[in-house]
Amino acid sequence: MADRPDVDSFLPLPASVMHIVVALAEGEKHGYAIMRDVADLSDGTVRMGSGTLYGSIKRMLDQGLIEEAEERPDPALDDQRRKYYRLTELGHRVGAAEHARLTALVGAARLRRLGANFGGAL
Amino acid sequence: MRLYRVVLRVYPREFRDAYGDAMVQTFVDRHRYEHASVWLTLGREIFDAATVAPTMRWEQSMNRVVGVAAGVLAVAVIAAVIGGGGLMLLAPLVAVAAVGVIVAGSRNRLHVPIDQARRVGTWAAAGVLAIVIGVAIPAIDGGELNAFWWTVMAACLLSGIGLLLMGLLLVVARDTPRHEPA
Repeated sequence: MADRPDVDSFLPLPASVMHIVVALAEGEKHGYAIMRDVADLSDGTVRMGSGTLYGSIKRMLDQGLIEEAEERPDPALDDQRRKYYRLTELGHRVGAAEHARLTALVGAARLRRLGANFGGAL
Repeated sequence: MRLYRVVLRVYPREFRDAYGDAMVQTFVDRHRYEHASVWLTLGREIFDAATVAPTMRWEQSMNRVVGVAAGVLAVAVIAAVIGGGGLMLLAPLVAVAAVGVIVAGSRNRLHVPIDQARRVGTWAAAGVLAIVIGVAIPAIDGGELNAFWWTVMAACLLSGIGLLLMGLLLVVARDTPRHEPA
């Protein structure tokens, strides 16, 4: 049986990596599509430049969280320079674990009424 | 576009070769779909490069540090083998090289995949322990070593160096991409 990496050893994920994981959760995307999706997901508060994006992508490829998709949606209409990426099985598991961790953290913040006395949203 | 290619030169060559074309395409897409002026888009990319590229270059130089540490180890081993009394030289050099590998590996500074970084630290720590025992043997025995203690000392030093080199190999191996660009 293959040696499966310990999911917990990846946590907590850097914010940029988690944004990319969430962007790729619905399917494969190329660099610019990821960039747009991250901006949309964060209401424009997280805007990645190309260096940040591809630096994170390189690291995630090295860690086996994502992989390059070989097939292209429509090669005739698409620029060859575009590379498409998708989550690996490990990427899905790590994303789910980080989701659970953040959910627990938000739950704890809610239980403790974080910010309630100061007009906070919780 | 040409200006952007100039901006890309601040990134390490290896990174540029792998992602340069995709980054240019992303730049074109940003300009095309966000209807921003090319100068504004370029300005954002320059700012991004100014914050990201130095880190990448620093990490690259850290890889060189590990390379130098491996070289120092090799020189120290040769000095010990040829000089006989080179053990006095061996101990501090090996210690410096080992500390470099452990710090680099354990802090994941080299982009060693996280699960691998711990393995690097374990191999390196075991190597240092074996070398420390090997170096300590003459001191414990008062410097008068018989054949048995010479053998034990040599075994400790050689296995320690082997373990350290194994840690180094794991660091070098992380450069092997898991995926080959199409």
